[in-house]
Amino acid sequence: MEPGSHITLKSGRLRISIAAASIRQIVPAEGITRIPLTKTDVAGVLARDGRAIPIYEIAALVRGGATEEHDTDRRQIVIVERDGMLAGLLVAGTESSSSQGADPSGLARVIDGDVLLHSSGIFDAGKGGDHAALAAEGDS
Amino acid sequence: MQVLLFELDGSTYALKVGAVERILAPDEALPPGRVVVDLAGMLGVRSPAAPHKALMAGGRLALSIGHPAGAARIEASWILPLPGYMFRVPRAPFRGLIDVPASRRSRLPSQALARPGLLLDEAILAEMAG
Repeated sequence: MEPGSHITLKSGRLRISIAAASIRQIVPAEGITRIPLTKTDVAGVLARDGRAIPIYEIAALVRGGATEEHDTDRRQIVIVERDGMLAGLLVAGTESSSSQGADPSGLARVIDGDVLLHSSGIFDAGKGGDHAALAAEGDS
Repeated sequence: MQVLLFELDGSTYALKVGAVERILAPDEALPPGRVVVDLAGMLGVRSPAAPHKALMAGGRLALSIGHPAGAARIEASWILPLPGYMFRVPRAPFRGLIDVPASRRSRLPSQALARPGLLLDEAILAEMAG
């Protein structure tokens, strides 16, 4: 992982560390509109600042589409930006961390969020997120 | 732009007024030559028990929709494009998400757009219907 300020995203037992510079906003998980025919990891869209932002289940991105029962606690949307494209990640909570890649409790594995976003292909038109789970497996 | 609104599986959808010739009540007979296509089935959402039908202009398509929720005049700036990278189909049948500014919501005749709705693309729907 790159050095610098990071934010840890929490979802169930997952801990995902993402560079703070990639994060545009963190907002309450409200106002999500369901959209038919979307990929399995898309929870819906959020209309914000004149844009429709796709919202992803972060646990599903990691597991390649499947979520678990304990992932239902979703209180925040972390909006990330890449090359002008926006995506929201649905999480239970966030916390700032100066050291990337370490869980203070030592109980959870920490995934590199930048690697996850890249490998999930969520910013690539016509490309699925099938490789995200594999990337996450290799980053524990 | 004037749109017709309807509810389907708990969400609000819209069609341009010009794309629809007529709306049929559930018990109205279908004009000869029309082919019914279930919109809920196309979108993969739950079908309503007694749907109305929209006779689409310029073709044989009769789209089985949900329950009508009135009409509204919307501005082009309220239609937010949906990113193609979120869909599992190459051409999703949506023109965009209708997001009415909070300051304008109370002035709309239909409250169906108190929350964002989806504006359907009648040309892509016709393609999908075959």
